[in-house]
Amino acid sequence: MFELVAAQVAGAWWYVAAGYTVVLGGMAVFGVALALRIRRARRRLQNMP
Amino acid sequence: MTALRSRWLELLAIVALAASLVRSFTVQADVTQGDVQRLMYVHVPSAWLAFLAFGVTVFASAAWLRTKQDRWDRLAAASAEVGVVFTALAIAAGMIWARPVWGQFWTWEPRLVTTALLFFIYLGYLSLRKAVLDPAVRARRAAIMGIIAFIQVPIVYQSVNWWRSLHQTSSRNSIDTPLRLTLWLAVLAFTFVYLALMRRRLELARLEDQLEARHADSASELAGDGVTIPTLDRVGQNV
Repeated sequence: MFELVAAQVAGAWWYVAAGYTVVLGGMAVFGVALALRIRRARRRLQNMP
Repeated sequence: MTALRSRWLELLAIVALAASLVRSFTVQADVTQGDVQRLMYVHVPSAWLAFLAFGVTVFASAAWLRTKQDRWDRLAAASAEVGVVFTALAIAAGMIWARPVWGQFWTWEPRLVTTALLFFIYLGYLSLRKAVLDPAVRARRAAIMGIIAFIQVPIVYQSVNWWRSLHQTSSRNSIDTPLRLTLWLAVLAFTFVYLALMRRRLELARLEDQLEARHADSASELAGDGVTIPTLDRVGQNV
């Protein structure tokens, strides 16, 4: 069983890179989206009579 | 200098995340899984942070029901949104990890299914908040749902013990010390990221409340005192 898993995951750097990109990228995208929403809300508040 | 002072939490999160990344890629690899096990350092913290976020939501929901203060409603909403993001990231990282280890991205096993349910339950919570316009009614309904929804969190956590299947049980006490320390460093770094995101999300919630209040003021100015908004209670009284 362990040998089977070891053979399957040999050279699996592609998955590691993909996983880290998705998680760190996801957090960054959410952070940027938040910043944009804050900026838009501030602008709407300023433009209100 | 002022900008730096207001962004100290973001800077702390970035530094902690960078330290965690360096440690994750330099610590020894797992004997069985090899390098692919390094995905644990983003998958597990994402899942833990989702649990923490939903824990904050249930606490803030209960606090709102008790005090009726707006700040608790804002905290519950903000934490639920961040929690949904971390749940999605945990599922995504888990699927990528599952492909080389289990041979497939997705399988209908208890931990995966209960986590997917958790994701959709809190998406429903966020939808409920969007669907109700009256702030007081929205806060009450969201608080009740925020408490009920949390039942799913211990179910997800215990799913690996209650229904033994493909997903392994908690490994935080069974792994070697260097790997365990790396995992705790990653959890700490992700916690700082959560706090930094929460700070910004709460700022947005306060702005949205101000916008809503201004809209309500301008609407009442237009309508004047001669217009009364019909409610179901009044309909009943008129019959």
